[in-house]
Amino acid sequence: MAINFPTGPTAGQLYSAGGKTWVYQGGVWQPTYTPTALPKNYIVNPCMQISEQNGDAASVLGVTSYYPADQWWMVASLTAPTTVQTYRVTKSNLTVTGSKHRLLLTAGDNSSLTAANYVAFLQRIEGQRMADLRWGTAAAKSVVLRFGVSHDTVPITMTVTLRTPGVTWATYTASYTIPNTADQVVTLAIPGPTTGTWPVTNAAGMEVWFVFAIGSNHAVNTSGVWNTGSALGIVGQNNNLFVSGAAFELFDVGLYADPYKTGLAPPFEVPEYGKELLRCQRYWNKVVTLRGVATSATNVRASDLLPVQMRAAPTMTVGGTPFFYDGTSQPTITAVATSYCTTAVAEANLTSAGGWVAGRSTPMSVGTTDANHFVMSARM
Amino acid sequence: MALNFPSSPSEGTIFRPGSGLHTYVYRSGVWVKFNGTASNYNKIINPSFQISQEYVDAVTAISHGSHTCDMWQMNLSTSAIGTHQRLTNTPTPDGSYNRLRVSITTGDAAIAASDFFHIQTRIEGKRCGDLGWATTITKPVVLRFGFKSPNVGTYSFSLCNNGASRSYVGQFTTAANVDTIYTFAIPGDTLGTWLFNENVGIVLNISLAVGATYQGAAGWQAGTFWGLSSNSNGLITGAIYELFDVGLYADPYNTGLPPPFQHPTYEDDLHDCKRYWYRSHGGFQHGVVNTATTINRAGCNHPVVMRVLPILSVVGAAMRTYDGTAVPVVTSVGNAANSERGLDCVLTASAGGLTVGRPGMTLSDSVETNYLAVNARL
Repeated sequence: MAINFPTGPTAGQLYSAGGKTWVYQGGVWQPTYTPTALPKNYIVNPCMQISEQNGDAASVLGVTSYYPADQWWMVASLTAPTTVQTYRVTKSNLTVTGSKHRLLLTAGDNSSLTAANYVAFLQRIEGQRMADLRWGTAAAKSVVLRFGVSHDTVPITMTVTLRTPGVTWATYTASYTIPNTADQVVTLAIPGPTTGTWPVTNAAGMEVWFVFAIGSNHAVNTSGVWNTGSALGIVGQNNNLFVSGAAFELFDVGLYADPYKTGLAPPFEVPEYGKELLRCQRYWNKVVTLRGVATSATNVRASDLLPVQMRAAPTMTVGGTPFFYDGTSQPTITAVATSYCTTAVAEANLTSAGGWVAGRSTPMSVGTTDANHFVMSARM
Repeated sequence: MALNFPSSPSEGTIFRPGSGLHTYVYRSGVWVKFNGTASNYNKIINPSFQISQEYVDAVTAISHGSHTCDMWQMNLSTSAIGTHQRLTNTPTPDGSYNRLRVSITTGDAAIAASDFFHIQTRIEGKRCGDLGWATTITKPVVLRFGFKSPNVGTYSFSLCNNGASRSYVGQFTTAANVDTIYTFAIPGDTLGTWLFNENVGIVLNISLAVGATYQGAAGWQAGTFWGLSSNSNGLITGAIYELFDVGLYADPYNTGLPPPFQHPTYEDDLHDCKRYWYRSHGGFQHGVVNTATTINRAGCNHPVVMRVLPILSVVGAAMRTYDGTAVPVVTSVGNAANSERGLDCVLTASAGGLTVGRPGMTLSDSVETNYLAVNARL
């Protein structure tokens, strides 16, 4: 079979014929040899195996902001008394890819939804993590998004949305249907957006929304295309809040560059736990060992190395009741008076009710539980 | 078209019937279609130049051994003068948004026999030992890189062992001002000594100029060779060269094809780079004041296990020490009991005022430009 390649190709141009695809690179047409999207997963904590802040603990009913797992943010704008609850579930029956965690979101009652309401799981992806997608340019790469879902009230139509983090809007909304209560894997081939502002720095570069319920203010009519507004979903998205106790589960999320437009996700891989923990700690971690010197009876200056280099200088807050020991007294820290943190160092002036002797060494102690710690947050 | 498979194949034999046709590999007694490429694992650290801990995007004067991007250095012996820098937000054909730029501000029109100019990266033996070079399991590799030249020219690349007693030389031809991807299938070396430990395993050079002393033949050979006699002299006043998206991959099935290039996840790449160099900010070090001007046993864990015992130096003029009262600035650092896993040093603050016996620490003061440079580069 003669292959009739296009004349005057540009670098990166694709050509498909007879079930094969070629890419024009380095002045020649080369076969792509890649049957799927590329293997790097842009999602952090894609299997929800890391949950540093909340473990498997459920949020209180009615919470509007909660991290059931690292990097997975449940955000809600609801009108009282409508409530939802979320947490990470650890199950003995594994997902189809073998991971044991998933996110759960349940409706607390059967209230109606106002136009301004929404409930969703959201992940923000750091700009320099996804810069090579070149979104917002003429060279924007296609992606494949795959994720696992289940629902106990079926059939139901829901929405997933990719969008800019809020500068110049570009929004891709797509609906999917969960036909029965079994685990479903959804795979979407999404063209790269050539418009919108997609940061490539350490700021948020992209938002991925898994929508549970939205009011009409946040819905658009068209599914599966890029829009210019800030919509979160589509008209026709079922309102999960109508059914008290309705339970939605999300698991095994993958977002992959697909430069050769295969439309297929690579085989899903559960990340190595240790590496994924380090990736998550770039955005949030607990510090349980600081060392310092007492500068007065009520103040210590303390510091130590952070477990990883964080995305930005973190905010530092007290978690639980850590205390610092000067050889005699060990008062509990009551406040972070002034933070001097950098991306690599936790450092602050810390305040207690008093008892230290100025000039003494004051190492931190957490007692017997790391529930006493300092929270370092560089979340987006 | 009938395919004439080789008779008596052995496990792993590759059969390529011809251009544009599928490749086959003999496995478990049958020929199976093989759609693969070289291995995905890139031996190059910081292949997309996204990590530049020391200089960020600053334009920096070139000197022999100087770095701008982590793991990439300039190696030269020439009268030419220039600068190098990490470029940001200059997307490559594969989407990376950094590249390494070398600018020649004063050329060297007549290079001497012993002159040379390379962009170089050194790969630790532990990272590339699985290639098995000079052993019975020698694996081929695929090298790919992107290069942009201001001129039509012929330039060289080379792979050398530690000490450069073995060299592989290849060549590539540039168009003017075009981002071009070059790919080379390279057999594994069967001779010489290739280190598999924490020292230099493989040196990759991209050469802009090679004097006659270092001009060899194409392919593997004994000796120190970095180019061919047809290598252009790229040391032209005003010339700007850019290198991007470098990959070196094991190719055990001899596909000759690199995997699709993906720039590494930022945090993973940063972690890899810190094995060789990192900034130990103020706030890392805690010790005890043993004189009015010194803090002894000032230490902490390294953020990664380093390649070898690192060398420490003070960068920035305002990293303060603190004993609860006095805050003299660090003026020098001495290695006391430094190790690959932890930093343990003596900090001198010549202004003095520290109280002996008190705890002594350094302060970050929310600033990242005052630090100890911790260096275990190859």
